[in-house]
Amino acid sequence: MLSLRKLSYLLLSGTILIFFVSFYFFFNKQLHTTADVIVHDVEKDTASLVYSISKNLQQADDLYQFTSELKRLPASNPFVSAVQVFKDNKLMLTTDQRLRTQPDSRQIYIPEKMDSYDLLTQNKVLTNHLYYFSGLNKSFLTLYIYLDREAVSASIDKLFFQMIFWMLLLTIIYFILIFLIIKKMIINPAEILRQYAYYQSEIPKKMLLTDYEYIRSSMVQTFERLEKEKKALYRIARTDKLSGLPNREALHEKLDWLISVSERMDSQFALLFLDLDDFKTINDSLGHSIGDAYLKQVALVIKKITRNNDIVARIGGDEFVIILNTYKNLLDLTQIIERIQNELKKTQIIDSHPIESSCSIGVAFFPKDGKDENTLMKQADIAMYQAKKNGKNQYHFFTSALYETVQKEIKQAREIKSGIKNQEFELYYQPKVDLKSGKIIACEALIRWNHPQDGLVAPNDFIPLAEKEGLIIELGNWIIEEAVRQQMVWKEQGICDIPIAVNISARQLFYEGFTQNIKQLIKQNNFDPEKLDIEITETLFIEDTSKSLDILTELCNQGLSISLDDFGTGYSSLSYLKRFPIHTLKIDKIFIDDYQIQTDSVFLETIVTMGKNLGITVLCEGVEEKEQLKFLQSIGCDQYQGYYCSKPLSASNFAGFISAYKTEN
Amino acid sequence: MKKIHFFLLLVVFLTGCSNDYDHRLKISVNAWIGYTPIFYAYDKGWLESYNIEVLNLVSLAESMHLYDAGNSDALTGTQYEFKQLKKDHPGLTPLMLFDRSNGGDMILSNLSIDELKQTDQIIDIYLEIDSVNSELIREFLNYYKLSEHQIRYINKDQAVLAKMNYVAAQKPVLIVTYVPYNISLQKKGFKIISSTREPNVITVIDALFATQKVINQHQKQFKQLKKEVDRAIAVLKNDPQEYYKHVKYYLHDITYQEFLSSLEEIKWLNDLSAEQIKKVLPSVDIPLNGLIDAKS
Repeated sequence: MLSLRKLSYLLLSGTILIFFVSFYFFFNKQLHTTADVIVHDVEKDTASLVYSISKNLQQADDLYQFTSELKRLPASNPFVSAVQVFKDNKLMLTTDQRLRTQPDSRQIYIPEKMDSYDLLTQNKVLTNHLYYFSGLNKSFLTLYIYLDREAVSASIDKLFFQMIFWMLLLTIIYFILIFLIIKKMIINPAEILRQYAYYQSEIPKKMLLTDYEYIRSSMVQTFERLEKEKKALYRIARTDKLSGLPNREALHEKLDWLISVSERMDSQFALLFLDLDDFKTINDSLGHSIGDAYLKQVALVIKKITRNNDIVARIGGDEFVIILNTYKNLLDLTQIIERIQNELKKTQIIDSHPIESSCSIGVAFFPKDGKDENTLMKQADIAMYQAKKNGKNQYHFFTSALYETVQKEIKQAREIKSGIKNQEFELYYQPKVDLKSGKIIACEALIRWNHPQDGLVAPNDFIPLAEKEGLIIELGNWIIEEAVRQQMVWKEQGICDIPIAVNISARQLFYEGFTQNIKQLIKQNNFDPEKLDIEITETLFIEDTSKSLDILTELCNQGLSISLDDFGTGYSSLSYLKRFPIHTLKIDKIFIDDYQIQTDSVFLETIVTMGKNLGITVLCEGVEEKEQLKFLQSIGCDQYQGYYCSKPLSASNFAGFISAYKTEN
Repeated sequence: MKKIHFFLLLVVFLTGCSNDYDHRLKISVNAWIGYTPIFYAYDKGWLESYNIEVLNLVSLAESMHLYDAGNSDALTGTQYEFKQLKKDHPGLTPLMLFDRSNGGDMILSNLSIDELKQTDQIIDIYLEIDSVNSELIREFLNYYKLSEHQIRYINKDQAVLAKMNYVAAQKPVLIVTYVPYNISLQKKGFKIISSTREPNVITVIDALFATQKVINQHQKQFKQLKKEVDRAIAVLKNDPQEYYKHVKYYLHDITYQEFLSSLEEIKWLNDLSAEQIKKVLPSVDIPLNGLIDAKS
């Protein structure tokens, strides 16, 4: 097999080779012709000189009279370097004093044995004779003519260069042009077509040669048609004909991709297995065409509710699979599920037939319930059957415990929402006491929930859920507003004018507009910002250091103070104390509980000393006994908080407690 | 051989190799004691690497004619040849001074000046007619008021003049010649009756001439030539015997003693700058601003 490129190169190389061989032979011939001309020129000048001298030479010794003529030969003929005249073996005259010996017979040029070119290149010497009469005898002097090798060489070089320039160089240029034209018009287009035939990566541009252009346009048309057909086939192979949704094959591909992405991103997603309730009855009673039309309608409903990045597929009969991977939380997920169920429960009019149906949905989570497609599908299917068991239009999670937890959380989240709306939440206040003076100098606001059925609910039972479901923002705003309001009431009533501390979670602090809200609240109520203390925990520092620093600095700039709650139990780092604007350190209760153990007392002492050195006020939480109080006083702790003084009290009780405390102290 | 030649030339052509001495420089030099530094350098092979070829000629006139015919790039000569050639070659300029003739150019005769003045016979004057010889004889005839005598000019090369048999003539003869051709003539009984050693005779300067165009083309070769000429003169001054061995053939086989005597007939000028020459030889009216300085 021979490619077009190779064939072209072969033909060009062959032509160039033939040309070079021809050139060589032509050059060789020219070389000999030039040699003949040079030698003929030298012989002609020599013959003329010999004739002129022989005519006047009467005896050998008279040769001096012709010195000038003899010297003129090498001077005037560029190819002659020197002339020697010998009488037998005696040098009579030389035009080059460096040449004083007679050339030997091997140096002599013999026309019968060699050609002109050999004479020039082999450094041979031409000979001639000067005749004169010695009496009646004809005598002669031998003339040796030395050729100028350099002049001869220059002459040949000149010939060579001229030939190179006019013949070889122009021919090379011609060949280069031919080569470039062949390359541009034949080789390159052929290569482009070949590449296109193999890869179809880029459609070739229009070609100069019509023959190539016909091939190119035919290929383009064919490949375009094939591409369209391929895409159509691909679509058909992966689309459910009836609903237009992706089919089982497409679901398989998409699920594979999603699993690998989720593994990499360490994220989860929910796979919903949806089965229509009593679809068989619809088919049996209204016929398959109505059943099919209903399935189309179901697909439309699901697509309408889900988002573009959710995956919806029909995997056969009345079974659909929905994959949701961007829900915020379980509540959000259940809301989507319920929306689908609610929509499908509505009466659908198909060909003027009102159809009432519903669906059961099973939910499995990646990776908790399964790490591959088969397991996830199987678990979701099981969950769907469990939902069917529970009655029509139900959904069920594969894990029962999870299902129950989720149900409980959903219920509680709804109750928190309604609790805020119905003002079921209340703030309790616990005093902060100065250890030196014994005076109440501040208080901490603590939330309580007066649940209509469950009674008083502690924060630990609803705050984590509120955070998880995002309700903490609403709840947190209410706490701050209520604390501010209460502080101003007590101030107005002359009960006290002490700072109130509120606990702020990381989520609330990072919520966009938090600082702006605080600013607005202070401004609207003409509130003294120094009377509001923000209590944060160390977890805040781990989440987003630079953002935390910005927000806390801004709050400080507004005049608020910052307390670090539960110090010593979390990610305690001295570097944060240095970088962040912390005014008060609140030592966790566990330290004072065991202050009698040496290690804990050392810890307390160390924290107090460190706080003093850093100019930070130190408060100890959870003080319940007098001994604890005395110990704290002994190590120089600034403030305390705890049952020893008072448990958290409702606003009215706190007011009463303050009045009584003032009287007592 | 042909193939090698072909490919070598091809390689040379394609690689475009060249050097400063690619073009041969041909110099016409006639036999004169003052030009022997060129012959010495040539004979020693010092000029080969600079691609300088020396055309060894018999006479000043011949040198001039060959140059005029385009057979050489530069020529040696006196200020007389320079002025003659300048008419047809306006760019001609002296680029190297060798010597001042200090008796080296002379007029020989078989009679004394007084005898010449009194003779009634035709005086045969042998000379190279289109050289400085004619300037010398014209000055001589005017000075000794011999112009009115019957005179016959015979134009011959110095090589011929030196070998001719004058005995047969038996009549008044004047020969205008120069070193080394005077030696054989003096051996034949001719006496010097005037020479450039005498103050009343014109000053003769020997130099190398070329057109400015040629000087520009062969600048490096001329500089090297100047260096080698100076080097040859240095050898002459240090070791005249060695120098003599290489130049004797160019001076028609003169003896060592004759060679040493000939050196007395010239004064070297090669070491002098243009300014120094103007001071030493104020009467010389040739341009000196183009002289090569081998040191620059």
